[in-house]
Amino acid sequence: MHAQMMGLTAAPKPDKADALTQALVRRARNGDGEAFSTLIAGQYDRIYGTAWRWCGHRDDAEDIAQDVCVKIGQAIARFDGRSAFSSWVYRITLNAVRDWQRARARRGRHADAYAEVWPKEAEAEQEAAATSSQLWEAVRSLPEKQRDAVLLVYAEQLSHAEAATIMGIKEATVSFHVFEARKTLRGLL
Amino acid sequence: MSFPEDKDPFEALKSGAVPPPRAAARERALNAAREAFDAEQKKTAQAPKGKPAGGRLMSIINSLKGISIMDMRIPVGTAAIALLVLPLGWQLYNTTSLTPTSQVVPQVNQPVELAATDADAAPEPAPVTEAREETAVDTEVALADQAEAVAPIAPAPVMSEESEVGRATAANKMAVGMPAPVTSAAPAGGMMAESVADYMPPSQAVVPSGDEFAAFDEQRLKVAAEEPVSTFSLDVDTASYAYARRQLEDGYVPERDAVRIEELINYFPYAYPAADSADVPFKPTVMVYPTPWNERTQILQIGIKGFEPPVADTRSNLVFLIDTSGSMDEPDKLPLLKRAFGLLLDQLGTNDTVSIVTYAGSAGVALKPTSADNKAEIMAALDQLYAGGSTAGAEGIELAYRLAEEAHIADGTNRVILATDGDFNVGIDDPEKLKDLIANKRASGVSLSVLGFGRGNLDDATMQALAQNGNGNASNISSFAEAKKVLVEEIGGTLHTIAKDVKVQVEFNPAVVSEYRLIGYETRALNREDFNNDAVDAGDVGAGTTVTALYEITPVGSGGELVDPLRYGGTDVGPASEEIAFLKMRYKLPDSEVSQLIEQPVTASVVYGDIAEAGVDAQFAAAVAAFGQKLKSSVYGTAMNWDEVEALAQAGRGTDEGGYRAEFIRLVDMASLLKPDTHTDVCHVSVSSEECD
Repeated sequence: MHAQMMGLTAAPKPDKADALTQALVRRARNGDGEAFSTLIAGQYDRIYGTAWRWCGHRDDAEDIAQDVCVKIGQAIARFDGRSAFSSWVYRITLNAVRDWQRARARRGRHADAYAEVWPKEAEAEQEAAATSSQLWEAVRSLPEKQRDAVLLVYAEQLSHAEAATIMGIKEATVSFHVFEARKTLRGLL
Repeated sequence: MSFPEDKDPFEALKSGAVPPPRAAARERALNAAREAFDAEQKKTAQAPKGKPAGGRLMSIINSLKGISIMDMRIPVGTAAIALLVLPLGWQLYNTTSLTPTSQVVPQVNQPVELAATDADAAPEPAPVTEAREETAVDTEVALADQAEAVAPIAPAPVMSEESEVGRATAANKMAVGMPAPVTSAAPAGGMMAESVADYMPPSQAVVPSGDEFAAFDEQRLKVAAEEPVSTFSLDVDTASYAYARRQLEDGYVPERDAVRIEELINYFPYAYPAADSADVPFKPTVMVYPTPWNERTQILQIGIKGFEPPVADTRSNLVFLIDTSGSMDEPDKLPLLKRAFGLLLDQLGTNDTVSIVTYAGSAGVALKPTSADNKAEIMAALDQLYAGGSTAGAEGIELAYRLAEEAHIADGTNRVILATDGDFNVGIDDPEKLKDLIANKRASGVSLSVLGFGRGNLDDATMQALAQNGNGNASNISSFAEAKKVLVEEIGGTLHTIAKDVKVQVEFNPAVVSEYRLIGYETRALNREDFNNDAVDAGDVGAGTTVTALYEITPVGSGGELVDPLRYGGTDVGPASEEIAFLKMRYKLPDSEVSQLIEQPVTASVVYGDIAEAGVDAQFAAAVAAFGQKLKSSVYGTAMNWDEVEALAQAGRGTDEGGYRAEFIRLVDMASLLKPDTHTDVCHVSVSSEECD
């Protein structure tokens, strides 16, 4: 899904899925419950995936994804269409992750020092998986802005411009955060 | 671990496989989302225009965020204020304070976002004002709507003689985009009728409560010569009063459809003479006295009090069907419900059986049928209930009926008591099927009552429908005091039916009464032929319950007629008789399917020349009726002002053992503050009543 950037540049031709999502969003905004159900069912995996990449635990990711779904249900009528729906969902998800992490910090429960290596991930050699999970762990421990920038650009494979829209910052700033993250991780890894 | 310079370390993040979510979690999330969406829809369905409290994320573009070097918001805000407020202030100063009009400009707490959102995203305006032609929403109209919806209570300014100036003011205000009174009768600046067209629409914003009420039209005036017979079913519910009280105490005026006048009147106990035996379980008490809000009409009051068998003789088999969905997790819901049932339990004894079934959240049998002696066991089962989980449609209602039949008591009360805050997801989604099931079970001797808890989620219409189909009653338990009233003081009425399907038919004598109007009972109207049809369901009267019905009647020749006499004939009324009306009531004994008839003429012997002579109950009932009519801006009987209503209620206080009448007098006070007398209602002058219903 491409975020349709506002501006005078020709937008890429929206693919079918994109058009369908837009239609569903429009219907849901007008109070169509069926459309909303279809829409949220289609979005769930992406939301859950994002949540998992950001926090690295299945249980937590499921909780966050549920919160995000509820928030979308509450707020979709007010979604103004000024940004792409996918960007809006990302934004809500990132906020939910942040809230959840803060709440967790308040509760004084610290994240496990090492992320588990999931059996699904370990289909390659154990070592590669371990390296990869170390990298994930390191990225997740970055400062918020850097982490968001890196994960949006690399894990979610969005363009810098899209990441900038989601994070509410300038495109150049995204590149800067990614650069900073690299610097930080050189020290870490 | 180190990375070669030429390789981007983050590339590896692409290949990260995400462990799949569990299906159950996914299901849960989707259900929760759907529920949130539906709740939001419900909320916005009736919401007035304007921004509800608690902003939401409207856009992801939060500019002016994170400028840490210098916070630009203050200078920008100041500039905006200077640009916006100064010209407006100047305009106001010029157009209002120095011009000799009585125009009051309402304050507008104008949320800035509204103008920016596009038209279709704005919630529908509440139907509190005129039905305007839907045109493209431009900012001015949106602003004007805003003013109607959020303006504080301001007396409606009526145009004075200088309406020319006033019009100029209005026109000026339109020019600068100020909210001007937009009425359906006349566009600003056009020709307008002086009295009607130019008042501010009522500024009493009806706050969206989230509760749902069935809309109904008010009872209209009938001409006795054309429709001499009036038929209705008794209504013993009191839910509407409890709801209105709660709204008023919180400083809101309840919605029109939430006010059912007969339920207001029937909330209070009256001292009608009771019947002597269970065979003829009630006898009607009839009075005719002058109408307090109209000197040319009279009120015909019909009151009955149900027979009260001694408590020791009653046997009940009760099944509590309790909603434990997440929304019940509020102090005035499940915890209050537990305390209320504790009260009820104290009223029960060896003869009685109790079972508990929960639905939504933790579904299933929480307590098998247990003798009410084992109080500790029952209370323990109650205490273990917790609210949690979303509404999973368990077979709650069927389970409840199964338990009720298991513990069936042959000649006692068998009743399912449904306690909920508005979630009727009891296993049958289709409301019609649910009603059918309840009506079928009613035939097998298990009745159903509904206790509503909390606020903001109530589905009043469904509550009423279920209770009416289940030969039970619907009450709102809003506080512990209310629980005490319903479950202790009036337990007989709540649990033990002494008469089923009570119908009332009044035939007015056109020679004496020219017009009549039943006050309230809109939702209980019956067809004339239903009266003698025993298959038609009607209201049920519990032990010791008092029920009151009021008619406003216009005697022939009093000059109070609202309908002009016919020009051509139609004056030939039957044999002249002294009787005012003829009252017929039908009822069935609880275990019988054949109705009995009570007949009684209303003669001049029950006519009082002064309301004070008619006694305190008459005064009080009339005061409640006046209160209800004023509260819902009825087209009838709003001529009394609040002070007069209060004085009448004071006069009708009597001994007031439960303190209910004193509480009502406080409510009148509250209503007079929230809906002042000077308040002109749009429905008084409206040409059609369409938008007022």
